[in-house]
Amino acid sequence: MIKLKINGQFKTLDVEPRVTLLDALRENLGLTGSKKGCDHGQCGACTVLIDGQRAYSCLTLAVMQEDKEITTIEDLAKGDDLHPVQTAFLKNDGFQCGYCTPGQICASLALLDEVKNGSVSYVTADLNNPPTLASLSETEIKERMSGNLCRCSAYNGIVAAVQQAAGQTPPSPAASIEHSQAG
Amino acid sequence: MNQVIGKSVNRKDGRAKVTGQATYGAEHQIPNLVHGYLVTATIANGSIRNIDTQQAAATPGVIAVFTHKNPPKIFKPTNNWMTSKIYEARLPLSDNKIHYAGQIVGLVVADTFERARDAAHQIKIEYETHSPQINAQKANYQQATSIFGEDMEYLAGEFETGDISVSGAATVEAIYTTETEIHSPMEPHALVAHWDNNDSVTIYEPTQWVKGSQRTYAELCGVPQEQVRIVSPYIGGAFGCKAFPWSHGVLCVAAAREIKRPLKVVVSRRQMTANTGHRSQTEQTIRLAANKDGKLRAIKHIAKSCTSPVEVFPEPCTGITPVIYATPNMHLKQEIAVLNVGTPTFMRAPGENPGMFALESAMDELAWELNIDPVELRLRNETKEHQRTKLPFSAKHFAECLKIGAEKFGWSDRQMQPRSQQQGELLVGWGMAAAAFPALRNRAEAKIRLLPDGIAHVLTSANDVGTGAYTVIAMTAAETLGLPVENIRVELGDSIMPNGGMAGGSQMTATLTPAVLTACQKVLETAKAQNAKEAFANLRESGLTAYEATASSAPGEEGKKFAFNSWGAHFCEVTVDEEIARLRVTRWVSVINIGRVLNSKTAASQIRGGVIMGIGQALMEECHFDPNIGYPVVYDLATYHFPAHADIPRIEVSFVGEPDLNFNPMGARGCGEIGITGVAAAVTNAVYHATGKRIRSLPITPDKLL
Ligand code: FES
Ligand code: FES
Repeated sequence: MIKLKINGQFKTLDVEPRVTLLDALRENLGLTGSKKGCDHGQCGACTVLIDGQRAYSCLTLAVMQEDKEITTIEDLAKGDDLHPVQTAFLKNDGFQCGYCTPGQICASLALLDEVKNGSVSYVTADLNNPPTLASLSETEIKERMSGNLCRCSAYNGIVAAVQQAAGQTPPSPAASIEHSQAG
Repeated sequence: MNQVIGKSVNRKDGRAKVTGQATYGAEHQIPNLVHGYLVTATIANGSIRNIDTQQAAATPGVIAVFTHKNPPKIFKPTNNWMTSKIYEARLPLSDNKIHYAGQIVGLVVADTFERARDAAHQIKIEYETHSPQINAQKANYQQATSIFGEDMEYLAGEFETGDISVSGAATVEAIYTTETEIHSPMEPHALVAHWDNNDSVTIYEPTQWVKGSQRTYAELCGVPQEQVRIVSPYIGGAFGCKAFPWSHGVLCVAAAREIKRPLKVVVSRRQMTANTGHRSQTEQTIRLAANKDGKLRAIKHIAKSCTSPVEVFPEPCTGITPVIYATPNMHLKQEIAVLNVGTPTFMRAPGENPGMFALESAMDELAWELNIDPVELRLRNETKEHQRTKLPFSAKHFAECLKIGAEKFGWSDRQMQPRSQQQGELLVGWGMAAAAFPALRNRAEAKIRLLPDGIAHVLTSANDVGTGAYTVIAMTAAETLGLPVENIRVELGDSIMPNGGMAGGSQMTATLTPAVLTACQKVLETAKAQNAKEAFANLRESGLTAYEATASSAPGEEGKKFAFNSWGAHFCEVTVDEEIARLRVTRWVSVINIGRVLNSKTAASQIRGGVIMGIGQALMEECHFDPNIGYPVVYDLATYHFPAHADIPRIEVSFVGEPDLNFNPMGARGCGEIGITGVAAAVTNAVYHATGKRIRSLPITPDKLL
């Protein structure tokens, strides 16, 4: 028997030690918002927040998570009110099939916190001068989101969603329509 | 028709998807559910001499083990594409023969996923191994057999008369190759089969074709169609690999019946590499002959692809060739060989994608040969009619795609010579290519219900694989009824609803929205109202619970008068760091002509998705097979690379043209596949401009640039 704190609630589970956090969420707790894309830490679809940090839930065992705060996609909206990052994904069409989306959203959420905390990335030019939410470039966002694959390739929309959530003004997700569509 | 249609509208299914409430195949919560884990072959050719399941069966939690020695009962389907279709003609566990590595040889069922997996690894198999045929170069090619009755060889002009003298001021002849590609949807193949008393079953499975799947499973189970229900409200990407039941699905449904428990089978990412489809590698020979002014005299296009011992599927590379350019002389041919690999199948723009890589590369080579701008060369060869059927194209705006694309990209600033543009240490190249994809349409049916709370409810078995179907259906209903999109509720992906057709061949929007339009008109008639407002008033007065109408819509005779096709042009910039052979795509402009654009937001995403998958094909996607054991040497998402965020620039998308009202009453052609066509050629053409190297074999891995 293990006790996990998930989305603010304690849950008691009877799982074998080899059960991953992802499978515990999906198979034992009915929290299927976190997705299994690869089960090997290669796609990011299973991204959740553990003590506020993004983590691939397929790469960690449920039994290792006692005493941690686990947050999944199911806990981001408050009633009818979406989290601003969710709204930004919706508005910027940051998904198509939606399967990678919970992972992308959790990763984006963590990314914004990381930037607020002054973290640098591989593409940060000056390590003593980390980007702020206002100066966070497209290249920075893409680098920091590259652990989350999207086969539908909604990448442009996801980057725009992060820009919006960071308080920037992203380019329009819509195509320009050049000719008469009347008729 | 412009209240809502054509606007940029957020996805109807968006809220469910961003909150984690959208439920995919393996996620339906069924009490008493047990788990199946597949056992797959580790050899590519031979047979099973002995299979020892004893230890596995004795593992805690194991409920059943199925192998070819005790397969669950499966009935032989007609498997003729029309009444039923399974991807792999050989039924699972039907004998002890192995035809490809990764073939399913067993299924272990246990009370938990972990226990099923563990037990599956304890099955011991002794094989009799033959050396696999895995080398496409050494394979034995024959003329391909057609799937839908299309000719596999076509001769016109001098090729037909046998008097082949065609040559011109310039000729280009070259061989182009593409690698085996894997669909790799983010949602793995998975299903839950839930039997009720041995005679009816509910199957929760992602499927691009709900009704087809229903009929097929009914035949496989030997039960009437009405006793099979398919539930597929959300699909985590498909791209052609979730249209029909695969062997794991057939096995899951049959096994669930035998064990009398709801059964879930999820194919692991590694297993998926080998046994749930791919796009065959291709080798294409193209010969172009042209006059000095660039006008094509002849196109010869011979394509080879490979198939599996268990199914025939030729990659139809030459289908699009007679569509794009005018030429009096043409020779097209499709050849096929059998390798010990899993079943190749439809993958985003099957045929058009590799075919246009070859053709649009050759056109670029011809442009250099003649010293004509590649945009100009394409404009000079434009055709008003389909070269095979001789029918005129309807609402074609290819020239505008080329011209507007060139303008948006700044093409006129291009310095003509290869290696002439630089950015610091990097070589910069610009390339372009045409995009083209046929416009398909089929019959579909939709039901609409006007409810007293002011909601219009649309129901159809069609589905949304990420295309935006929920949204364009809602927009079509909103437009026709004069209601806000928020007041439309759309329910999809259930076989108990009217036949919404298939999400494949980019046909769903063109097929379904006319049916929704007709159903809306019909429900207003039923309500004796001009618009929804009146209808709702009448409804309240009548005391009825709903006004309801079902309507279908299908193509008529228009296909005898017109050829329907979508068009586009891609322009791109690449940079090459020659020292480390690093190639990056840095800028992209696509201009596309698909008739009426229904939702400028989701349509743009469809095109971007296609372009990006095409960039993956150009830069990195390849599945090789071990020459000795025949197993794919890529086996997951860390070894089969497709684009990540950092690989992709912003893709600028524009649409041109007017509604194609000859095609359907909405004037809309599909947009799921056209985006990927021509992309790889645009990239290799840009690489040539950057480096002077002509890459004729995809993907452009660093070794090819050193
Ligand atoms: S499922 Fe965890 S990273 Fe892919
Ligand atoms: S939205 Fe389909 S994989 Fe990202």
